[in-house]
Amino acid sequence: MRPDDPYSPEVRLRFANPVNALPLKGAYPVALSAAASMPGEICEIQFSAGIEHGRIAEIGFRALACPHVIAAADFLCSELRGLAVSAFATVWTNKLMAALSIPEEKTGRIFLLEDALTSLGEQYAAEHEMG
Amino acid sequence: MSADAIYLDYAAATPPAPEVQEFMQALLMSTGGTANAAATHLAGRQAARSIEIARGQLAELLHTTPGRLVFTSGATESDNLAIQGAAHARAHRGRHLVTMQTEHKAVSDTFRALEKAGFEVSWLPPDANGRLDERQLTAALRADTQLVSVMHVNNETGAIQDLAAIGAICRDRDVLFHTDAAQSVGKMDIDLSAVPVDLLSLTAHKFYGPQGIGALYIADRPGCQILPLMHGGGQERRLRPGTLPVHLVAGLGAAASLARQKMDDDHAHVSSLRARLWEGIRRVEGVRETLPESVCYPGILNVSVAGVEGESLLLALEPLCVASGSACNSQSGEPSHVLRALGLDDISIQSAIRFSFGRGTTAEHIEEAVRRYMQAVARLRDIAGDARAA
Repeated sequence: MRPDDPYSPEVRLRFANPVNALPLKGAYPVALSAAASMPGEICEIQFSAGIEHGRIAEIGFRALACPHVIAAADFLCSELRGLAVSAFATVWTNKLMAALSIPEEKTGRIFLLEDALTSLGEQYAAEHEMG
Repeated sequence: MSADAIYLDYAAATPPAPEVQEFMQALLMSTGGTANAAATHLAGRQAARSIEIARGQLAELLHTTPGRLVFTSGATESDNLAIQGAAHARAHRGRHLVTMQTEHKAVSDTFRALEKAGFEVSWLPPDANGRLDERQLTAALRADTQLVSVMHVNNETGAIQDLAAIGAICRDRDVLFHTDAAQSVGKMDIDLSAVPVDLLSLTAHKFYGPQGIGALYIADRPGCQILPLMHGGGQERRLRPGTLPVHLVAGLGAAASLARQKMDDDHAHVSSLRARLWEGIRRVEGVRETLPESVCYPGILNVSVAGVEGESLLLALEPLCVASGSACNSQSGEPSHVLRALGLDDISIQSAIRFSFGRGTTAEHIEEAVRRYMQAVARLRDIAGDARAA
């Protein structure tokens, strides 16, 4: 990252082409959706995931947010696809901050992504128990 | 600047005109251009002469006499010198001051510092067109009011204030009138022989001169006195001590001279560019022009748009170089106090973009700006999908 550029190359790349900024396509045995927003700020994030055999078969996001959050959501979707549902409960913030060189002042916004994923995990657990 | 950057931020800084650059370069190569103007030897006298020529050029632009102009480092220093200097010089007469909520930070922060020092400040709101309601001004003036400060052209919206009307009200009450004219000097005709302004701040880098040099006009009339902020030499009538940067002062003078010649053409040029840009981007759903051209200096177009996050919009617009809704506050990330005073909600403010144009802006730049703005808004709305706020 250039010292005069607030965005790392990874953030710029994912912001320019967020391949995972998509609605959920296809039918899955379990379809989940969760959103999170930051009060008083323009930062809203929504994840949709399709679950098959306890794994994240598909995941996409929507975001009305800053470039760091958009890039981080896109990165997360790429990382999560194919993992077990338990990955929703993983602590992602440190990995995201490091992988995308996100400035510290954006930490609160990155936590928001974790909040939304935690909700997905809780939803799955609730549906799984019910089912 | 990157080769493919499209510069649409002339309200922040104009590039020095080629004529100004050449003139300054030649001066820097000469002994007289680099000597201390306070020295009495030949080189010093040459430097002093360059400074007085520049003072004369600026005086011609403003329709005043050279002796009324004090060189400073820019408009921020001029604002501080005018406001603090006048407030302290007249403190024995009263400690009430008046300004607007939509002033540049250089003015509003100076007033806040004076509030902490025991002065009382009335902060007047703008009307729906960003202008000062003269009845409100009249009502705000008191027996102990000593100074009114209202900027000429707003740096974020382009709103123009009626200096003649405000000045007349102030003269009638024997109150000093200061205006920050950083956005209008060299772009609009300001006739200080006719308009009742007591103190006027300006900076060269807003009218194709160099950065780091500005001036303060001080009217020649009883009661119009200010105290210096700094001490240490006899330069600039002891109001602004310190060795003057000869090449910067001369560059300011050259830019002033050029501005006189080009003012009408420049105005017509930016007016046509603004109309073209607004005509293009008004097709975007939910876009809003903050103020109409009829009440603005046409070199500035401020727009906001629903359903888009401001920082992402700014990045998506690259390589357009534009200012965000926080404009001069962009480093703080705080929503613009100017747009807030105009009644815009925080969602609109954070998506606000200020486009500003100048001599180097072409019709092709505007076409590209329209294309990129439409594309950026559509793309960000697509990413937002259902998450999109109204």
